[in-house]
Amino acid sequence: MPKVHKKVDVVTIGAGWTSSVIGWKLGAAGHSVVALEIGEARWANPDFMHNHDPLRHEIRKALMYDISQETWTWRPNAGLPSLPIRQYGSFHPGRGLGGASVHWTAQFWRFLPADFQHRSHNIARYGQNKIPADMTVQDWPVTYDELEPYYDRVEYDIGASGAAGNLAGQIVPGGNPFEAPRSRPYPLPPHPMMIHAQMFADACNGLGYHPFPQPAGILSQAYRDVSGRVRSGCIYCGYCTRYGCEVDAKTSAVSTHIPAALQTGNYEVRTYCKVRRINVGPDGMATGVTYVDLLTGQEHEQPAEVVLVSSYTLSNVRLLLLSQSAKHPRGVGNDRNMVGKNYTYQLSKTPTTLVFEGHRFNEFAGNGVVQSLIYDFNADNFDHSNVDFIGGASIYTGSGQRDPLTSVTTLPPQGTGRRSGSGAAGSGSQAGAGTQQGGGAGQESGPPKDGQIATAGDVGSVAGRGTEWGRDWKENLRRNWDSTVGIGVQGEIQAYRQNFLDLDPTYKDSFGDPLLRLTFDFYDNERNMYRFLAQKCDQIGRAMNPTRMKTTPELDPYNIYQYQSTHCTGGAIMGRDPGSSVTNKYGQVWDTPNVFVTGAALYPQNPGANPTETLLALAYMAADAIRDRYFRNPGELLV
Amino acid sequence: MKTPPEQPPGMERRSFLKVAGSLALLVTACRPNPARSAQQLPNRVAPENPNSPLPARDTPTPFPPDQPPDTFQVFTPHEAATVEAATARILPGDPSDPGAREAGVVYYIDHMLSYHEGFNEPTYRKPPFAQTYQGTRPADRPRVVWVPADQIYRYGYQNILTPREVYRIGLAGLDRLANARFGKDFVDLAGGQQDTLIGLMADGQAGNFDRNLTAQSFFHNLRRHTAEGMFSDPIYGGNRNLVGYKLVGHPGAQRAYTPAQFQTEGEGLRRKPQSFEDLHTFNPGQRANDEVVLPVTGEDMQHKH
Repeated sequence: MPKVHKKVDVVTIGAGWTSSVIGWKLGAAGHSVVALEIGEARWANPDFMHNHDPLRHEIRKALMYDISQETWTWRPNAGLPSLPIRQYGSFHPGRGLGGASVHWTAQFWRFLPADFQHRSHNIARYGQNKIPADMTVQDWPVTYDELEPYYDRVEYDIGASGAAGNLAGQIVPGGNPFEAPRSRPYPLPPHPMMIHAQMFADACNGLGYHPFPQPAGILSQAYRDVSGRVRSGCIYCGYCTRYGCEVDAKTSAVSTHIPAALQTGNYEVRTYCKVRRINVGPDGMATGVTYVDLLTGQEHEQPAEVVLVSSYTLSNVRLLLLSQSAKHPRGVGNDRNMVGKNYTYQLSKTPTTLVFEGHRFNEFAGNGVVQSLIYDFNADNFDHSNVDFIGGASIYTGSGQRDPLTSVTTLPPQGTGRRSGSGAAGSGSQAGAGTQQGGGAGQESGPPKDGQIATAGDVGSVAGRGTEWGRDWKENLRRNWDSTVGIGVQGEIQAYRQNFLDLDPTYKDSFGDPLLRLTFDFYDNERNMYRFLAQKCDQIGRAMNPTRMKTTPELDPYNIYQYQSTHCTGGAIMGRDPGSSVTNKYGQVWDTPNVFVTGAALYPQNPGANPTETLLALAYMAADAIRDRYFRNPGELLV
Repeated sequence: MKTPPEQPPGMERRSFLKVAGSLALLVTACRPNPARSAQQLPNRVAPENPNSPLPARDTPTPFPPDQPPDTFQVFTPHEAATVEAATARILPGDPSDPGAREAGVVYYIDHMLSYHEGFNEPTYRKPPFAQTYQGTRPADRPRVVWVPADQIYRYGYQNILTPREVYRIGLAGLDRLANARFGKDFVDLAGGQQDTLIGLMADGQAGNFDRNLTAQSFFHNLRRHTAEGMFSDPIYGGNRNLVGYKLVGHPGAQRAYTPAQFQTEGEGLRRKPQSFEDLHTFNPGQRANDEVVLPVTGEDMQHKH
């Protein structure tokens, strides 16, 4: 028999960033909010005080979701079987108080006005034929102008760092000239750039492009945030992505919104609680959730007026699909088969790798935001009339925080002796060590060559398929580890009818519930866009005048084993009507109006930029709407 | 599967002497001390309720690892000598220019294999496991998922073997390869002969060691774990005397850099490399969040309802 708790106003799935935003805003208005968190409580002090242990964090995934108990399955397309993601690869969802906001990189972006009118903008400018029939991109139900006040509020609440590029319509030198008008500058100045970031910026200026420093959710100076605490500026220790910040300079739910929510006295977090179902009553409305206390195995029911589906993108979609009832037999939000549609991702690759012999750039220091970027080839910032794709990417160099563990196995081979492998550079990952293959290229990928035997027992893919060894490898590490620089792209992946999420028919979690299945691959738009961007990376790389360089001209097929980006988006998308989406612009589920979804599952498709600032702005907007309007007419759809 | 050739009598003893001989070089090396502060891995607790739907969890891995630094928990003396010899060809060195042997990589690998059958990251182990085919898809079989051989690489780790089994099978396979080619076990070959075999494995020219393990996969494992043992913190058994950090010019665990420091080339060479436990105790001045206390579990909150 489940233990039944007293009804609360809101129950949230997980105690991550959007949960704490809702808990803070609604808690301050006197609403009771309970957050059910699968992981542990953790704080900067003492949990992150002594954390500079790369093996534990980068290789053994100390802060990640426990995929031994529950993972995801993947297949490239519906014609191939799905297999479980048995060990971490493509993305890194978090676990514990604050969720992935604790171990994120903290690149902090507003989207562009055209991003919100993605379909209609491209058709208006380039014609109906620019968008293939299977490309299911949609417009958002919100505009940039509607979100701007929330973007502004979020930046000042946390203390964002950056250089304004467009202040109320005035272009400001040194910032991003392609950004949309902002009502105020960033509250804090941008972070200093690494040496190789400055070289990249100089080369871009020489080519007539417009480099600017990375906007960041890391404090560049001490700042009093919305929780009332004064937090330290960044100390550039070099242990950032995949670590918790020991000085709370990297903003997270744990540094800012959870303390603010707890101070209201109305936000309660229960740790080690795994939510298994949203419960639905005879009228089709949600009645609360069923969860299991992982420390005892005891089942609990938490009744609530509103259920906030606020965990990771993939977990949110899975919970909706698992919550099947007489009224919603295919799951909450799925009466019209819209859940799982428009699953997209971020294209995160390192097309070009440069070696500067004799230089040592200190790439081990800093964090993931001490870099320089250009937006000249992102989104629709350039004319697509004569190219065979839509969308684009930022191009960047200069991430710090490189660790040998995640970069030595993929350092581009330099030796000429017989002990060097072929070292065919495959798809790299992000430039700099913010990612798994910190060195970028040098990772062999692609199908096995002739004469090579591939069995399902191949463990090499995870081990990194770099091939250099022996004296050549050692000399390469000695000479080039801190002299090798990647030029990376972070860009769009369009939505397609054939890329989607559903429940796996075969594989289950430790409770016996089906895992979520990802059906996802790259298509022509991604390949054509990558080819174009790789040529730009090559051009910038040459202008940086390296000793040697290598560009990977073509995009390899998607694989699940290389870390690329944790920006999984879509699957429970927002839209203007129930025939094309799961929720309205507040994340309110069309067919179950007392269920709200937060986070990047709402995105009709992911623009080139990282999703975090926008999902916070959307959570601010939703929290205000729930507080000011929903509770006056519970159960009614917000307009 | 072929059985490995019988080892000549006395092999274990000779191999052990080889290991002991290599240890003599390490007398001056720093050994890892216990960590100054205890860190816990993410909590894994066995359910107290027998009706729990949860499977019994593993016992937590102690942190820091609790093995004595110079003992083997998993490898036989012969296996240890083989791993040490193979990793010393992958990342070669000598006392004046240390490599995998001098860093103690073999101890890192042995310690890694001593917990959870060698799984040191969360790993989903439920069947069915994949099998590959070429040409026409074979008929359905229970507990098998058929995947085209040219696609399996995209799916990442799908091996039915545990890391411990990978080493048991791989090391036996390496000796079979050595005996077939040169008539001796791997550890007894000259350096150039050992390089020949490593090269065959790396280039995918050494076939399969087992129906579930290619020689090339075993090479990739050895190479990855060589890198981990060379460049992880010494507390895990390798990177002794920080020789890995010194090789690449990485200053290791540092508290902070100023912009002026990281914007001047060569800061890594100006600093004394440090291990995790060399970090001074950190005092942020303000003890952030100390006033915040959360319940450990929902059970603690029962009195409120």
